[in-house]
Amino acid sequence: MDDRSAAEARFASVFAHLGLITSYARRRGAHDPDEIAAEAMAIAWRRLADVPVDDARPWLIATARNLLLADRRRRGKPVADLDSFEPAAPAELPAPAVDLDPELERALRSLSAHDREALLLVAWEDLTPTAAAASLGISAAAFRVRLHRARRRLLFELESRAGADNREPSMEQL
Amino acid sequence: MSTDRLIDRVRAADPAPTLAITDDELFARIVAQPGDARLVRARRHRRRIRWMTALVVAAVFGATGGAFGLGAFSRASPKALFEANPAGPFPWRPGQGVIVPVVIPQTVRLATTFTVSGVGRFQLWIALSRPKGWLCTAIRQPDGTWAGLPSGDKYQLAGPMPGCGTLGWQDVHGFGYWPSNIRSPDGRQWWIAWGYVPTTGHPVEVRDEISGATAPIGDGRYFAIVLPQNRPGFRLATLDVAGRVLATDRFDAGH
Repeated sequence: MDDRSAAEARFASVFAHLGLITSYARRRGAHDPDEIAAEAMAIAWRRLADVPVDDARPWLIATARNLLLADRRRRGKPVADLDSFEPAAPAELPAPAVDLDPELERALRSLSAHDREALLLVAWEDLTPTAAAASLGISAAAFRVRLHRARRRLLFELESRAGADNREPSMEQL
Repeated sequence: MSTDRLIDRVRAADPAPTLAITDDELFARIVAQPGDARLVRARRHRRRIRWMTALVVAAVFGATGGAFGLGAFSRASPKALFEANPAGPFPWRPGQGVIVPVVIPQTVRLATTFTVSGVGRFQLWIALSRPKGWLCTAIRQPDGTWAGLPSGDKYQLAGPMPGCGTLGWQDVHGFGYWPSNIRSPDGRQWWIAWGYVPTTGHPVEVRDEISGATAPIGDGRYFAIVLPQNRPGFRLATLDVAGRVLATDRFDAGH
């Protein structure tokens, strides 16, 4: 197999995640999810040596996230960093396949952007904590802290709104 | 609510569930662009390391009888080249140790030749080896040197040669070949496919059904065919002396 054929074969395994990246862009409120995913794939081809062979998803998601941030800047929604980046509320997404109940939406919005992204990478992108940490460029330990905080906060918000006691959940519940 | 149920609730609310998307057109558009040059350099570096390792192994263990230095391989006789077996002494399958195929000298022969316009005539040499009967293959370049050696590998033809045990040899019903490419001085790109065809019937010729190019089959089942690379892949077929198609195969170049 020559160099080009080998590169194309390797890229084919990366390209298999096109659906995941399109969904990621759509969930995060991309103006054109297909365009974001296509651009992420084109970057992956040009920088194939940087894409991890064992699991390309964290790299692709990080690339798609950067493209989303750049797209929002171009569209006049300046963002300095991920802290100020507000993923679109799911209810605002172009064609939601599943209606998000308002209670969950409000609870998700109550999380910080970092914590919410940690939670959604696990719940929606189905990444392991290690892979999700890689996509955010942080250690697995730091990611677990964020995820724990996000779960705890989300649970508190949901239970509060459900009319339960306005107390934080006990550690036993977590 | 447990955290497991919490995650399940968020998961169930996924507004854009992941769907498997296949977009061949997008894939083709992307790979038509220049790729990452670092991969090519890395592969060539690894290939160079493999050859160097092979040569060191051959030198240390006397597989060449001490007759070959680094430069002596490039113009060695086919028999001497296969005995040295630069591409051979590697683990064949993980965990099964190292198998070092040893050429059977009586089986060394010229299988066929092929000519690339503006470049010259190449020779495909073959032999069988012990202990498993694996094929030995080597391609001699127009200037008489062997392809695939660290020095003088002018055209970067693909395939783990020269050496023994380099091409599968168990399937009498299938094609076994390496696709490669080469550029002629006028800038044209050519596919080179070299290997063997199925023994179904009595094949005398292999034909690409897309471009119409043909090549003779040598020694019963070996071939090397040169094809224009401006086509969407190629589909090989073997023909008997009456021109009947005996077997077909397809290589999709991904373009």
